[in-house]
Amino acid sequence: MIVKSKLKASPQTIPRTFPWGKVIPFTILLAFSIPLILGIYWIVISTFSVSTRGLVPVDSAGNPGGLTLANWSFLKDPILWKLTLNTFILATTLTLGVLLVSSMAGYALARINFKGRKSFLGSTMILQAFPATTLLIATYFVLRFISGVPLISIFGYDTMGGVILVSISTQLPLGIWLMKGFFDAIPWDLERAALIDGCSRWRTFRQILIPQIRPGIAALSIFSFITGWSSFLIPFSFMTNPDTAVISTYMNRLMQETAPVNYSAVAAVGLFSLLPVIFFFIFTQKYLLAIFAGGMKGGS
Amino acid sequence: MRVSLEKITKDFRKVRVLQEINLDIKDGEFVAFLGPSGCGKTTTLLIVSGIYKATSGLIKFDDTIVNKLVPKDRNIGMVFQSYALYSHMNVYQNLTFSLMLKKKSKQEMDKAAKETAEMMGIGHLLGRKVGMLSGGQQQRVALGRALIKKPGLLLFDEPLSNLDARLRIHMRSEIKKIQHDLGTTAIYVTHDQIEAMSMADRIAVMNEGIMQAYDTPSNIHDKPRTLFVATFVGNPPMNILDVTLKKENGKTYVNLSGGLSLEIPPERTPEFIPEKVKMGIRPQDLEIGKKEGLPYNVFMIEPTGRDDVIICENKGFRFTCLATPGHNIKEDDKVKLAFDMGKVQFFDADTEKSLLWN
Repeated sequence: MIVKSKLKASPQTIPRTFPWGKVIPFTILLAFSIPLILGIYWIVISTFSVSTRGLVPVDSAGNPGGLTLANWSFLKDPILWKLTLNTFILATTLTLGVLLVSSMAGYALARINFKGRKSFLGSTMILQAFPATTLLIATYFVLRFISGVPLISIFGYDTMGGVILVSISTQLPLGIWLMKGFFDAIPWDLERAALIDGCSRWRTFRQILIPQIRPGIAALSIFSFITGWSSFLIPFSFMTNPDTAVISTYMNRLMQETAPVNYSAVAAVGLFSLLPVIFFFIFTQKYLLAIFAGGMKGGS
Repeated sequence: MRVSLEKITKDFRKVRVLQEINLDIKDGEFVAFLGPSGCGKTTTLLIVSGIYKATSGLIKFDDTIVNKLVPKDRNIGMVFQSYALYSHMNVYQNLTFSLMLKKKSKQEMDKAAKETAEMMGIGHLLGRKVGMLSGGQQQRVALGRALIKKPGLLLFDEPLSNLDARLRIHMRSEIKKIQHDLGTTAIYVTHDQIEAMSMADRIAVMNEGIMQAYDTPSNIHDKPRTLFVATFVGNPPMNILDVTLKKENGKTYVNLSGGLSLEIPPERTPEFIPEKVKMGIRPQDLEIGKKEGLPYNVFMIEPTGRDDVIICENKGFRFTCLATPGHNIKEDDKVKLAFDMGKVQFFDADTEKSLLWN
């Protein structure tokens, strides 16, 4: 009881001023976020309605109401699940490929002093600067060429392999730079200690260095997965076969049908394809920030 | 294990960072590499460890040439300034990592880890992640990791630089004690002369890739072979002044600026007298009095606890001297400095070599 009364006897006397430092940034952020929030709101609403007028769901006669689950009927369509599987394969193989190549390339670029190291780094930066669109035609010819070569024709034109190959290469500049940044932050002494303890160089890389850059690996895999999941241009350009299409190209086909486009159905497919990404993002945004913060300091 | 370096040189790109380093280390000896940043001491250590390859020269462990051996085959243990612990492993895993790579049995690893941890006083921490340890504890783990494989040679790369002053003094004696008890040959790189003086049997002083001197701590201090050694070793640093020497009636005199000349005792008289000479005198060999000697102004007093460092000035030239606290000297006082001529050093101003010791 005594303790309690003592606590009560010390009231907070800090003067309260209006927190402008918080209000102003939040206002600005809100102004930019409102269009996005409204867009997402529209998607969610329209997937459950026959039609919409503005942000209000309406029925076929134009009266407010008309909520329906019809737009989600595509979930019963087996082709959609095949496309989802395709998309998943694309995203995971892309992620694995990017991780494998960029971690090893990043290590080499961070640690080994070889001829052409700087120009290599510079040229990957330039590649990153090219919009993928400008390279589409050139890539098409490369893929056509690969199609004609035996053994590696699974990476040719109109194959999932080809799309994965091209997607990996467009992701690599970012991946390599990111991994290099993380490796740069690891002190040399750690590698030296491992070498003296009896590790080979490869084992040092695998057992000592990779655990040090786990945040970077996590960030890069999330980023690659999301990119692969939502990629459209490359699958659309290099896979014409509807059997190997992915969700984004399927959505595109929905909108190009000659009959009037059912935007509510398109929105439903869109929302469906967004779900894994949103789910992923909520749990991993901490790591994703590492990319934009320019590489966290390696460590536990 | 004996270690010898013969004419070791090292080039980075086209810059020569080590120039013909020669060094012999006896079995069980504790040798310190002392020098300012960038003098090549860590490079030399990394060449001994096998991480860097020497551009030319031979490295011998006992009588075997080890130039081509990779680090893990050299039977060495190394402690780093940043500790370089494997932060994703716990203390036990850090300690036994090298044993695990040698495919030792679980019992052997447990026994070795227990022994080493007891010796380092970290027995109760074996299950902890290293990130949860204090700096001193991490240092002990790093030392334990180097010791657990019972190496023939211990390498230290400024291992105490990241510790606070008190812990540093404590670990200094502890490392020396462990090294002495185990009888392992050790090389210790440091830029801290007190560490080098207090721990090492012999000190190799390096500057700009050149070995300046390699001798016992007392010889390094009392008989500096170059001007660099004289000014780098000793705290506060030695006073250096330009003088001329003059022989008269079989006696040698030193002329100081200001027209004063002092007689040099025979044991401090250089045999050969070059044109330009620099004289060195340590602060503790200058006596501050008020009666006789050279007149100086007291410019600044810096108390250090045990001594007060007193900086005296005359015509732009400054002398550093020492006085016991309670001396009554104040800033701007007029004092007179008496030189202990039996302790002075002479150097050739051009070659910077000592005229007394070779």
